Amino acid sequence: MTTSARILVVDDEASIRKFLRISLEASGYEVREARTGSDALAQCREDPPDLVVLDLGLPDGDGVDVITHLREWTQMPVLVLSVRSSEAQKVAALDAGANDYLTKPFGVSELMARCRVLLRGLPDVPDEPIVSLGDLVIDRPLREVRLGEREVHLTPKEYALLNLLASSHGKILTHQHLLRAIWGEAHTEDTHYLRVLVGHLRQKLGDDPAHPRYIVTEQGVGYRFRER
Amino acid sequence: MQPNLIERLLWGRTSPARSWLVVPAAVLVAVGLSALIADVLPHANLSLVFLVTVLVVAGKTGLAPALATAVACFLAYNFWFTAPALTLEVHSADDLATLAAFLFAAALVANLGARMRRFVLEADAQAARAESMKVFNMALAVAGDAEAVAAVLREAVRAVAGVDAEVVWLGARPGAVAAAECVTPPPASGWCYVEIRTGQHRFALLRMHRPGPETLAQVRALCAQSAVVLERTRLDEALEAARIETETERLRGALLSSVSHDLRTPLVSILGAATSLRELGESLAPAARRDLLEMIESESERLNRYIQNLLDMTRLGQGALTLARDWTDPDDIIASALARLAREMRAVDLELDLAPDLPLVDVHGALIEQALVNVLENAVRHSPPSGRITLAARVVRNRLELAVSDQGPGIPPAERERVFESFYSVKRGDGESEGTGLGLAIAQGFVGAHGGTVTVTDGPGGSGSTFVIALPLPAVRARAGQP
Repeated sequence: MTTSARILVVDDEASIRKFLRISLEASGYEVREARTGSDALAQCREDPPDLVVLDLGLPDGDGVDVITHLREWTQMPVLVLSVRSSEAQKVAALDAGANDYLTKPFGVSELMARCRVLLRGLPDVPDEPIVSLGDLVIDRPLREVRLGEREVHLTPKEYALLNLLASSHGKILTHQHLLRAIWGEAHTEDTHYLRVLVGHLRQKLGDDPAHPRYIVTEQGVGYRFRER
Repeated sequence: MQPNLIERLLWGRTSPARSWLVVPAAVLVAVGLSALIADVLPHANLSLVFLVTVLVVAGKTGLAPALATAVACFLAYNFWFTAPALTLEVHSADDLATLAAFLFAAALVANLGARMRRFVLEADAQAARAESMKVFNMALAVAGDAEAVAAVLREAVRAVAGVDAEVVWLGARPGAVAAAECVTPPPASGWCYVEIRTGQHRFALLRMHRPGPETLAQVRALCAQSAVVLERTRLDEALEAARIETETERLRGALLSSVSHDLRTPLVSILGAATSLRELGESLAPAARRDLLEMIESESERLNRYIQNLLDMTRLGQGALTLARDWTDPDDIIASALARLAREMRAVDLELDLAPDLPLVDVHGALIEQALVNVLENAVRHSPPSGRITLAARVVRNRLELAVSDQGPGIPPAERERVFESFYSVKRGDGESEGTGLGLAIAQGFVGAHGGTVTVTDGPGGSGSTFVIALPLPAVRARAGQP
C-alpha cells in the first residue's frame, strides 16, 4: 500500500475523535480531525480527503448543512455518525447526499466495514458485468439471475430493484431513491410499492427477511445489498 | 308628614293569629271615633270613618279579616248611627241607600286594600331576595375553589330556607358519591335534592329538607349560580393542570434527549475503544492501547457521574432529601472534590485561594462536595484549553463562600437565572451540550437544602464567569471551636 486512504473525522467529542484515530490508523488509514463543521469544510477545500466521517451534532450547526455544502462541489464519500436514532434524521442526511450512516454507539468492525465499502469505488460506475453473492449470480449483460444452477425469473421492476441494490456495493439506498429510480418522480411517497416489490423479490430469491442473505432492510430508511 | 307612620299603620305586617284580634279592636275604635264626631258631621258621612277602618285592616291583615271588618262595620253603623238608633232596623229610604252603598264600598275597599298589601309584601320580598343574591354573588366571586363555593352556597341556602343543606359532590372528587345513590331518595323521606350543574357538567347535589315551592325556586337559582362559578374553578384547575402537564412534558422531553445524548456519548467511546482493542489489539502500538484503556476508564467515570446526577435530581425532585448534618471542615470538602476531578483538572490551570482558619460548617458533607464538584466540572467544561480556574474560599458576612471562576465565554446576564434550571445549557450550536444540564440545578438544590445559595456573576476582570456557593454559618460560632 503506497498511498493510504485519507479519512477526515469530524466530531466535537475529543474522546470519540481519539478512538477513531487510533483504530483507523491501526487499519492503515491516514486520519485527520476536525472539531467543527466550518473547520471540516475548510480542510476539505484545501486538501480533499478520500472519505469524511461526520458527526451530525456539531458545535457550529447541523452536520446535514456540512453535507449540503460539500455536495455543491464534490462527490467525496461521506459516512454520517449520529446518536440520534430517528429515521427522519438519517433520511435527511442521506437525502442531503451522505453515502451511508452509522448509529452511535457502534463497534469498530462495523465502522471498518462501512469505510471499506465507501472507499472501494463510486457507485455510479457499472464496473462489474457479473455480480455474485453466495449462490446468487446476476449476469447484467444478459439480464439473467441465477440461484446456484436454477434460473430465477424476475419481472422488469424486480430486476431493476435487484440491479440497483447489487450495483451499489453494499451502500444504503433510501426509499425515495429507489422509488424515483424504478417508478419515477411521481411515486416517491409510495413506499408500500417498494415493500411489496421487495417482498416478491425476496420470495423469488428464497431470502428470509429475518436473516437476509441478500437484501438487508434498514428500518424506515431504505435497503442495502449485503456486503460481499 | 310622617309617611313612615302612615305606611306602618296601613301596611305593617301582622301575624295571622293576631290579625283576627285586630277586627273587633278596629271596629270598636271606629264606633268610638264616630260617636265623638257624630254631633259635628251628618250621620251619612260617618260611613267614611268606617271605610277607612276597613282599609286599614285590609292593609294590615288580609282579605278575610278585612271582609269581616266590613260586615262588622256595616252592622255597627246600622245599629248605632241610623235611625232608629240601637236597632238593626232601617226606616228611611235614605239610610237604606247609604247602608247599601257603604256595604258595597266596604267590600270593594277590603278587596283593594288586601291586594295592595299583597303587592307591597311581594315587592319587599323581591328586594330582599335581590339583596341576598347580591351578597351571595359577591361571596361567590371571591370563592377560590369548589369547597369555598359549597360553603357560600350552604350559607345562602340557610339564609333563604332557614335550614341546613349539604353539598354532595359527584364525579371524581374526594368524598364524591355515586350519582344513583342520591337522585332517588325514598319518596317519604322529606328530603329534596337539587342539582348543581351547568349545561355540560353536573358537579354536585344539594341535599336539604323539602322547602316550599317558592323557596325551592330560590334555592334552584342559587344552585345554578354556584354551578357557573364551579365551572369557572373547574376550568381554572384544568388550565393549571395543563400548565403542569406541559412543564412535565418539557422536562420529560429534556430528560429523554439528555439521556439519548449524554448517556450514549461516553458509551460511544467506551464501545469504540473496547471493540478497537478486541479487533485491532495485535496491530496497535502499546501507547495506543494504553490510550484506549484510559479512555474506557475515564468515560466510565463520566458515565457514572452522569447517572449519579440523574439519581440526585430524582432525590431532589421527590423531596426525599434528608440532610445528615455534621461539623465539617471546608478544606476537606474542597480536597475530596478536587480528588474526584483529578483527571479533568489536568486540562486546566487550577489556582487555589483558600483563606486560613476557615470555620467548620454544619452541613451534609457529601452533598456540598457534590455541589462543588458540579460547579467545578461546569467551569472545566467551559474553559479554554489550559484556561485558569480559580477556587476561592472565604468568610463573607457570616457566610462561607466557595467561589469558582473560569475564563470561559461567560454567561449573558439574561440567561444567568436559567442556567440553574434542569436540562438547561447555554446553547452555542447543537453539539455544545456536553454537559447534562443537570449539574448546576443539582448544585443549587443541594446548597438550597442547607439554606444557602448558588449565584453566578461575571468573572474577575469581566471575563468568564464566577459561581459562588454561599453557606450560612451558624449564628453561634462557639460550637465550631469546640472539639
